Amino acid sequence: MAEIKFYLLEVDLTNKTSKKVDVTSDVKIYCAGRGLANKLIWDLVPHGADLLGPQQILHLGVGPLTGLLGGNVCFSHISPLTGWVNRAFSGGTLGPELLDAGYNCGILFKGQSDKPVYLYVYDDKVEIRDAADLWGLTVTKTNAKLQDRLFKETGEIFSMATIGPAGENLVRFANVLVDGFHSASKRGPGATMGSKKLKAVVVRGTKGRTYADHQKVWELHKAMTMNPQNQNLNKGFRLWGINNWTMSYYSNPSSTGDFNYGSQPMSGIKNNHTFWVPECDNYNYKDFITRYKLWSHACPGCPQACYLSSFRNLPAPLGASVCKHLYDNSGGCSLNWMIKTYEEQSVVTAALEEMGMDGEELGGLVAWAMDLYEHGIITKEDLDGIDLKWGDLDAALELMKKIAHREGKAPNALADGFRRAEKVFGDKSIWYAYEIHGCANDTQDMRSFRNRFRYPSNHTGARKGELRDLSESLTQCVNLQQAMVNAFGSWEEAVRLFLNAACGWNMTINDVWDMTWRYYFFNRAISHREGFNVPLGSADVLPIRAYTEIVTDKYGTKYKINEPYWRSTEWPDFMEKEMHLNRDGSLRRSELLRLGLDFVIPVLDPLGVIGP
Amino acid sequence: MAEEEKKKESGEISKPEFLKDKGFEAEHPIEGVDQVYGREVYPLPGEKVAAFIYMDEAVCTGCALCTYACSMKHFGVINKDASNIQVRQPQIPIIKGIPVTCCQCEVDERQCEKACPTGSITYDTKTMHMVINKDTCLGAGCLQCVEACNAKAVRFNGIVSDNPFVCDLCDTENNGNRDPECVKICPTSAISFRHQQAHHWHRRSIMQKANLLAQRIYPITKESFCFPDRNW
Repeated sequence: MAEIKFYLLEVDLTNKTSKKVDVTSDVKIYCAGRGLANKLIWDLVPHGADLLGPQQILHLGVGPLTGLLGGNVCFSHISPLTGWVNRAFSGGTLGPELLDAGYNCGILFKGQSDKPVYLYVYDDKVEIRDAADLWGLTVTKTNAKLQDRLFKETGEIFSMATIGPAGENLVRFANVLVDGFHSASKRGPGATMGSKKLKAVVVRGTKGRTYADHQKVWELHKAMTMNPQNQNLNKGFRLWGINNWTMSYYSNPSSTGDFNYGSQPMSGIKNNHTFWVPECDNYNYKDFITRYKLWSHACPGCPQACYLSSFRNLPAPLGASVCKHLYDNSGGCSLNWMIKTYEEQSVVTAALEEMGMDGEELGGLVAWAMDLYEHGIITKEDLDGIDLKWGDLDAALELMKKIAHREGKAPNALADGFRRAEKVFGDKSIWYAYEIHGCANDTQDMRSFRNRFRYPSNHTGARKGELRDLSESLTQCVNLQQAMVNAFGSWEEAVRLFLNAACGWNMTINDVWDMTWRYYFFNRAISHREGFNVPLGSADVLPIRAYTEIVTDKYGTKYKINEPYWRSTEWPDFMEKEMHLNRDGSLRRSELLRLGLDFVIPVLDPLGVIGP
Repeated sequence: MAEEEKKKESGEISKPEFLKDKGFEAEHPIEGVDQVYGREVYPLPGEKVAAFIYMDEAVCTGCALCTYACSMKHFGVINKDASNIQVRQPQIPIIKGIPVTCCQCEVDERQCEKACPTGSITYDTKTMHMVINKDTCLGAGCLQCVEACNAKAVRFNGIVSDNPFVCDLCDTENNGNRDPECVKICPTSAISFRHQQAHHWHRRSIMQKANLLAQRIYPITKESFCFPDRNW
């Protein structure tokens, strides 16, 4: 079985040129997606480069299993929010289309355009086109305009990744929306795209896949899809969307704790000051789906269809809106702002997707601003005239709009994230900020058992992006992991079988593990180079409120982290056993040498982040 | 009871029985309806009955596994654009997977047949599906059939074939053995193989179907997630 070749589309936005590059040798070592992006960022981005400057790159990554096990893409870059390496993961049709167009390692964007452009890819035809008429439009308007224009031109429906006004205005947590609703959210890929004046990427591929053994790949896929256990699993996803998984996940007290009795919102309430208020009863996901579900949608190649869109046509002033309603794009902006009903909250979600901002980051920031306004640390004048009271929908929407357009003192500061805004608002504001590494608390609260490790140990910012498996390199959707386990016994075995069939490789389970750890340590090394956890231990902190403020759930269970125990026992254990690091959080020199990452040692040694 | 156990030991147990034994059975089994992998599989239309691929656009999730199955069956590759069935995901404005394939039109309605200058694309009345005669088809230079079909169900992809292709109900040998792969793989049972009752609906293209589905979300417009008054 012949091994397949891997190609990357390299686009230079400064010179408006593009070329197809063979990266097969790198993929065999680092895998594609986020793994290949490690190599590209390490080689191409100099240490300390301007976070929104022309030296930064953006890798729109796909991998050998994209379009088979979920249709994901992985945006990799240096985050303009944290300054460390970042990945943002999104579903949608973009990844499979890229593979079908012949670019099975995605697109690398270099340089910076002087005027707004969008990238057009139709098989071998690659053009950097003028986007002056699209600049300034919201995501849906851009997509509608592009979809109509391209359909008239080619008769085809293109897949597209777009930024909204937030990305254009370099809001540091702006996201990229794939197909309008699949969001690559975390830590600002939209701002990086905006800094390159790249409004959208549109792709259509008709050439098909280049698997080594199509028959074998298809048989494996059928074995997974038609597995009786998986049919049952998939049915749940289709009925309840991603929340099928999260509801059972959060209800399990051994994992993250049964906050808010396992339904939305799962995280903190009123800027994370509590875990339960009576209004929690208004948020019931089954209730929401029963009333507002429109249809289920799947990424190409995935039988699960966890994407669930909803539609409401409510009396004024709420009006009509559609959105993809998930726990992570809505949990942080619901009772964290004291928005009391799903109906009101879903308007926020729709607006978020129009503006192109990360819901979790914005959720934390607006809740913080509400808290500061209540305590008089910021004023109505700072907020450009907004009377930002808890639970005021119109005020919150107005603030969102101002943040996206960077209008007014406080909104402009908030658009730069917690750490930069703290400097503007003063020291008094720091206690109220429930953030870690300058990123907002994700929807899951960091006082819970797992997240008290996940957040501080994460070298990309907050919880998301912590995963130490290969799914982001392959790029394979994590939601399919249970289906893979059901069909093949273990996730690694499933990956091995699929990789060997798709790429013509001959990998063993140990090779899969090595590739996993190589990609993870390399990723962490880049963040270290850019200042993460230097000096050692500086990033291993939770917000002061996590140790000091007692929060209570519905049943009266109190949550507070026992700091001395966490520091002395829990944390070093986690570092050693789960992360394969030294107990102080430093990288293991022996592992770096064994995995062929010896070239990072001379760079990181002076920083003191490599142990024995 | 003893007989059943004997059968189990000797491996004679049928698939539905085996699945029932494992707990995969319908809550309300229907007489004459078989089960495969815990799913109900209705008997295929009889040999002498005209039939076509029926699709429920509202149920379709757009996973496109039908296109993978089709391209594997016909060309031995995974390529959604080398498939007789087509699934695209237009934004209306929220994304929706919409499938289209040939509905084996009635004689008066076959625009492809009328358009073909050499009479190469025809309905085979013996095997009861459309066929394309590759010997007489003019191929890439012509494509009148592709143009003529309102649903764009006749397809062409120069990478896998010199001729256009159209749904043959997986009777690739043209011997009357119709056994559509897309129906078997569809995870949501949005695709079924039915006696022909081709309604006008099935001759709509993906964009035409999208425009109809978009009426479900009135007053949302294609340009806005939210009610236009909000003017985001």
